[in-house]
Amino acid sequence: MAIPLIERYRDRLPVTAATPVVSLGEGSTPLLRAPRLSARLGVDVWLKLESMNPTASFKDRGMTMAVSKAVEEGAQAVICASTGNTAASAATYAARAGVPAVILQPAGAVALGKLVQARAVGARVLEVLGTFDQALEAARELADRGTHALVNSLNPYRLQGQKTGAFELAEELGGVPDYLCLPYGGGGNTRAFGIGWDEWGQGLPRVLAGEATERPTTLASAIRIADPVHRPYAEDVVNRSGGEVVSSRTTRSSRRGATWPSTRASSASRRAPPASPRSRRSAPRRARRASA
Amino acid sequence: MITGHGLKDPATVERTTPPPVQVEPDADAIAEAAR
Repeated sequence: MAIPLIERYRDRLPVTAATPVVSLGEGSTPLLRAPRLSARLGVDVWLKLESMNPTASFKDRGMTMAVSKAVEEGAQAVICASTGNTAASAATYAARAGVPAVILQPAGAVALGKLVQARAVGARVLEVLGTFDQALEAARELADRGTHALVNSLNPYRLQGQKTGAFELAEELGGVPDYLCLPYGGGGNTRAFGIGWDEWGQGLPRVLAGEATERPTTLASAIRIADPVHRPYAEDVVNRSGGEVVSSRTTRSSRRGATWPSTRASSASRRAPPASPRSRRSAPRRARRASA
Repeated sequence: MITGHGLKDPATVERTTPPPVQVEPDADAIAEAAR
């Protein structure tokens, strides 16, 4: 039986014995080596299969925390604005908890598979005639009125749950990878990984945050967000790590000289914990790894 | 993974559940539609 994420990392999460654990067996996702990608890129590439979470995205890591805390605090309903994955996750965890979920979706901006996931578990789905940002603002206003618990990534418990991705990677790789590649939509996951690495205490991997060149209209609906609400925090993580925000057409280098490692992967040896991220970056790199 | 009809048979979900209700991006309109 899958160990609930909250139980696996209980000592690192803001929960108490009074917190009702609303779980669907999230986290503990497979980490697979990608041999052909590794050969093609000349680095040791590992893929963290977050699609193996209960509703098929990393959002479940945060949603188990957000909904558990919402129930603990007496919420009568949850609400979120979503381009899809958050909607599916919020709706399913709310159903697990037995509380209503209201899902705000920007009209015409959500992939069908994600749309129907929320409906399949009984959520109230509203199609907002506006952008994601407008839908989110409306959700925030309703949360401020106290009628709904907001479970978007603005909810701090979401970030707490999502930070566990860093813990799992560190445990599975035997340390911090050289690079961490993440999709960059709202920036919440990049921010959460930053929290996780900081708490892990062995420095940051260089974070490559991949954003859509045309954010408002990209075909990649999961990251179709014009204005990332976590931008300052996410890009702080990228900057501190010596990484970059990258897209298909432009590269906004946040640290000159940050380049993909040119040498072929060596053994996956554990690196000694660095004194600081800065000193670690100047040290020779023995293991070349990247995770996505 | 909890897919049910959600990912594997979206047509059934579309047929058997209420379609999304369209609302203006306004909190009062949303609160009313969410009842």
